[in-house]
Amino acid sequence: MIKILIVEDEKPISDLIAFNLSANNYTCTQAFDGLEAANLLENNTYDLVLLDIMLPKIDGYELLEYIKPLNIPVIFLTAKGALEERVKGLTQGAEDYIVKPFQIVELLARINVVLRRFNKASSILNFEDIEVNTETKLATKNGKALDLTPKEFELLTLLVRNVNITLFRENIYETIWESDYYGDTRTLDLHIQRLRKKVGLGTKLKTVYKVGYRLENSSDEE
Amino acid sequence: MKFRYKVLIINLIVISIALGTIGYLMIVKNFNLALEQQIENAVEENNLFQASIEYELLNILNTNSYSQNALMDKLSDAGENVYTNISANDSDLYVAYDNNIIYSSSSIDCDPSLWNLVDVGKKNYTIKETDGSYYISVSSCTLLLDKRLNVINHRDITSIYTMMKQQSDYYKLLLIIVLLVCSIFMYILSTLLTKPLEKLQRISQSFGDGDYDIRANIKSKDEIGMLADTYNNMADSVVEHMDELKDMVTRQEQFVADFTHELKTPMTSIIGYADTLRSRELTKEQQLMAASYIFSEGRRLESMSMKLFEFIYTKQHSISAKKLNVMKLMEEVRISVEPLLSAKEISLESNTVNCHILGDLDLLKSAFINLIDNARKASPEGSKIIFSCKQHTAKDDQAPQITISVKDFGHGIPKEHLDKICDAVYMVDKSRSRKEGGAGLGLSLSALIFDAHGATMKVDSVLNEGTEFSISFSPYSEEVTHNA
Repeated sequence: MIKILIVEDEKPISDLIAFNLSANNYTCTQAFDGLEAANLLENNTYDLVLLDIMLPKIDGYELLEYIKPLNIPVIFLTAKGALEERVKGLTQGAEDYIVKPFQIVELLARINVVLRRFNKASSILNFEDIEVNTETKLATKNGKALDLTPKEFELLTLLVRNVNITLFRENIYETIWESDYYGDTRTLDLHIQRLRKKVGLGTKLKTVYKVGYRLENSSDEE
Repeated sequence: MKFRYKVLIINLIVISIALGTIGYLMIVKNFNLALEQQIENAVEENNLFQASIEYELLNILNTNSYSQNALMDKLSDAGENVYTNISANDSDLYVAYDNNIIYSSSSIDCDPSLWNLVDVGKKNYTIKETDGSYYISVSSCTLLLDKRLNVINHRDITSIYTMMKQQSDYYKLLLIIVLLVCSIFMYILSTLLTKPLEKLQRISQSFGDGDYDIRANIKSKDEIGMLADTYNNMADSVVEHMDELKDMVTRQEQFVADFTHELKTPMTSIIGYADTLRSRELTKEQQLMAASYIFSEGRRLESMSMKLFEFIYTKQHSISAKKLNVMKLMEEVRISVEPLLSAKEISLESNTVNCHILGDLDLLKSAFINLIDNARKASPEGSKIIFSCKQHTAKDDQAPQITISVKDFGHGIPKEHLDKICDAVYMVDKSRSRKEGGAGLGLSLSALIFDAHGATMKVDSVLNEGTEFSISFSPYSEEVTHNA
């Protein structure tokens, strides 16, 4: 299990992150100020730290200096979108930053990227008999390679990574096509249809009426 | 035109008019004196001629045996004699009898009007110009045997005219030289005088071009020195105002930045929980947790926006002041804050005085609620807050005052933060204040309200011992109402 330390003084936000990460099979520990985080870091090992910048007692930048020698990747959580803040965080050694308010999907994706970079997360994702290798960009079903276009592959990765989570059309569109969503979903619907056919997902890839799509296990885990 | 040229030209005009007038009057006076002298001389000479001729004639007349011709001859001889004996070189003599010239010492003809127009027993003189020379002629008339006898002398007086002309030429030359010297002198003088002005002008120019540190360094005690001082004062106050404005803009920018930042915290929670709710299958408990977070964070957003609104509103509007009982105000505040305080088991000690101030009840109420709420946030559980009122009577130099104070026994405010606590969105301990639901607007809002009431706010704080906010109002009096 991947262990993540959440250092965030706002309880609602901290709970929100912890709740969503736990649902994705991460083990979470919450610290509400810099000192508490430092104490936890001293006695435990973590695979990743989510770090708020403005913290009581010891602020995020100071804490980052403390974490660096431990060789634990850090993702900054910042309310300030200001460029200099982000640059400061990154140059000081943070792996990534997330600007508040953020979307859960984005948070999960970024966490995954950082974990993979540190070889802590497997680059192979599994969903029943389907295997997706995000490193080689190869998807197989029952060991047989699937012939997918790059966009279809990304779409499949997104779905497999978020099993049992409803993915909203605009989220999918913004993530895969990396442009703003203006209500035109035909491109997306087309890709979903072809993916269903090529991968043989059938009813497992559910259409949530008027909202989006959700990939479901045959037997619900939760 | 430059000032120094104006000074120069005006001075030159005045000086030339003055000198010109003086010179003209002097020359004319001189000339008139000389002319009078000449006339007098001529008349004297005429008297002499006349007397001499009459004396010569006496001999003939006494003999009683003379003929008309003999008389004429005698007259002519007498004229000849007198002229040769008496006359100066520059005079001519004419003798006329019965309107005919009898004797003439000169070849020049004599104007008949000279003897025709003279009354008997009187003398006449005329001045005539001929070919650039001036002559004075004096004519006298007596009766000789019932016929008119005229003695006319004729003098050249060109010299005085020449003298006058020479004088005026010389004077013109002098005038030109003097004016030339004067203008050089005055140019230098006016340049020296206007130099500080030009310096001031250059300084203003630089100031206008953005060099706000430049100041006039003119030490003279005259109007220009005063102008420079005034200018410096003006520049100082302009710079001061500019700094104030800059500071205000920076603060406003900071306010917007801080406020936006504060907005993001509840927004992150609301968006995040809503996103979770719609994306996942959640248990009943999880749903409840997410929903209650959305609710509480939404309330926080609401309270922030209300405070922001109040803040902007108070900044833009004047208060409607009425006579206000302090006891009533404090009682209403107490009722409002009591539930908040009891949650943290903080007791409120309140002692009030029955007195009146001028103010807006609702605004003052919210200002004091803010202060007590701040005190609550700073206080540990089970602590107390003292909300009291004191009345100060007038002393020698102090006006009477009513001071309402809020004192807590919480963690105090560090010295370096004391002067900034009234800035909008300023929080001494950011994360703790936010946990208590603060948006950092409260104190600046209160300060604004007190300020609008003409009250002064004083803060005394000892770290880890507590903080006391004292607000002093002027007591209500009839005069104040009239002013308000």
